[in-house]
Amino acid sequence: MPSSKAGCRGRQGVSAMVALLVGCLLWSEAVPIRAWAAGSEAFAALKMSRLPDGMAMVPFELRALDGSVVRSGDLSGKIVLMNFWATWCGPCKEEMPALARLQRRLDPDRFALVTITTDLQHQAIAQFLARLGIALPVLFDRDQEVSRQFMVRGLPTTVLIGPYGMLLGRAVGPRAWDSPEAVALMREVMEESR
Amino acid sequence: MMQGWENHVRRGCVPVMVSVALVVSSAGAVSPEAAITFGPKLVSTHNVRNLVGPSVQIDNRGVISLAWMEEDKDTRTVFYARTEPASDGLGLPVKVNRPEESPYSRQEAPALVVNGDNVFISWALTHPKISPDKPFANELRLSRSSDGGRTFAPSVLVNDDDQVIPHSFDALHSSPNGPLYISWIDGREGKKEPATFVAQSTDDGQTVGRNVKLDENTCVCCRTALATGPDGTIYVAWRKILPGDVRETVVARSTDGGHSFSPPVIVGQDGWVFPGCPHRPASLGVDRQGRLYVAWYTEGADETPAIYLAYSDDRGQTFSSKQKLNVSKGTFPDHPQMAVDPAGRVIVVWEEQSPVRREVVVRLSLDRGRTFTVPRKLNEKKGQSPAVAMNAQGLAALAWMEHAMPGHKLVVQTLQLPTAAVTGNHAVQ
Repeated sequence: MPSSKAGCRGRQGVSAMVALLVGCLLWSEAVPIRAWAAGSEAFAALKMSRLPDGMAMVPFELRALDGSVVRSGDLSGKIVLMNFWATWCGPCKEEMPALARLQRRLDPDRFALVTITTDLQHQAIAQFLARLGIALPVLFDRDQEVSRQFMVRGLPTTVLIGPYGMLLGRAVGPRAWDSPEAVALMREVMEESR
Repeated sequence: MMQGWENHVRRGCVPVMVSVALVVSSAGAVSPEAAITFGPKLVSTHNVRNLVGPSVQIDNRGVISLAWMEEDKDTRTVFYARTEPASDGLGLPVKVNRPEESPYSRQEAPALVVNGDNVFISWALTHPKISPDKPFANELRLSRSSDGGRTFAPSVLVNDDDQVIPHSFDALHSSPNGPLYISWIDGREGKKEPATFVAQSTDDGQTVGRNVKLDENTCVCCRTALATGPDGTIYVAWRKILPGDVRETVVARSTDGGHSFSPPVIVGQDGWVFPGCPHRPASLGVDRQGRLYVAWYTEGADETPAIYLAYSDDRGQTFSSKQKLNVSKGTFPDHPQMAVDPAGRVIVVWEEQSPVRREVVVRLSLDRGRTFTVPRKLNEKKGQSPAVAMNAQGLAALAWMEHAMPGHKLVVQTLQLPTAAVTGNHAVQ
């Protein structure tokens, strides 16, 4: 997937503007900052944007498919892969089994996978997941606030979040989430978060 | 359900017909004395779980029509409302679908066309054969009113396949005294990517004719767009998937009344590679000289979000070089919508987004798309899903939705463009 570096580089002159900075950082695949030792190669292998240190997830509270309320604080201490999707998005639905397989391969005490949608089709989504035989947490972003704060523009968009809410990486478009590269990245980040 | 329209004129928020001059770009050929007059804002509050829309139309009397969908608890309803000539607000919303009909959850407003007292609205009905193994399926329905939107007849089915699949991302269009056209996307052929379809109604929406497939490899989630030229040429725009996951906005035309269409023509040669769902439609308009205008969103080969406009003077066979319309350095542009009046006045509205803002901005052209005014912000809060229409007198109606707690707001803003002669005349080939 092509890098988005050109788009953000073109905006360097206004990078002091917070909105642009955040948006650009959320998007860039090439912001040359690092802190987590998880190598750039691991992100690059998955074609996932590496996000610079210092960007924290905005707290949220969303209703889940099972009726429970999930707060971002509930995920604290875990590596979180947050997948934004919609029922009309074919590539989103296609990558769901791979997301489920990734989830199964990782320690649930240290890794959490959540999917978020603005598509409020509770029953149909439950049926869809049941038909696939997978159990992925689905959160409903009713007011689109979380999607907006994460600057979700194309779908699927997937964000990798560190154990204390720090944004680590971002992928726009589908990925092979059960690939060795994806598993290696998650394990590398989890290991580093110890 | 709507809690009531607030006319901001009465509330003193905006003076009656404030003459807000929209500064025109000094760099352009638009006459600097041109002034655009903003009318009062109409705001309605809807304390419902979700609101999708609106769509907007304005007729030559200045009557504004809106269509939207509300979701409250587990009930979804398609609504229509219009202003009355002797009133300064919108009338009571009218339910479009029957109580026994369950509109399908969707991300875009119902499509709306108004032709005199005929009102047409397309929307998606949860497929009657939906099942656990086919949970995301809908039929495309067409509702019509022949009494100015006071009542709606039972809807008719648009898609002529019986497959339990999605039929959506629809557009409606009708030229005066012409057929009603509807375009949409569906995957009835079972291929990996769906196709673009068109149908028409020649009896004021009582029946819909045979579905005509325009093209395949259609990007599944970008709404289609429709327009007709003064010579009857029909134009359809959509986003096409080209090899390498390149997403291009394309236009096809029909010169035989919609029975057949030309192969699609790429408008901007953007080279945007994206293997997912952009979920951003193109917008079309045609002036009386036949110039076809296209506004669209792309990220191009360098993945920079941008809104572009291009036009064609040869009925969509070739297009002008594209003109970038967004100029903000601190936000990302999104969801452009455009209206064109017969004289060639062009109004383009879109969102400017950041993690903390969502604004609706507008630019205007008084010289048939050559130059544009500087962008002007329209909304006060988190505005989204802007829509625009313009009548033959250059009176535009802009509408959008604002998220606010505890409800949602629909906002309507009128805007009178100068009636002076439009420059930039050009013979259509």
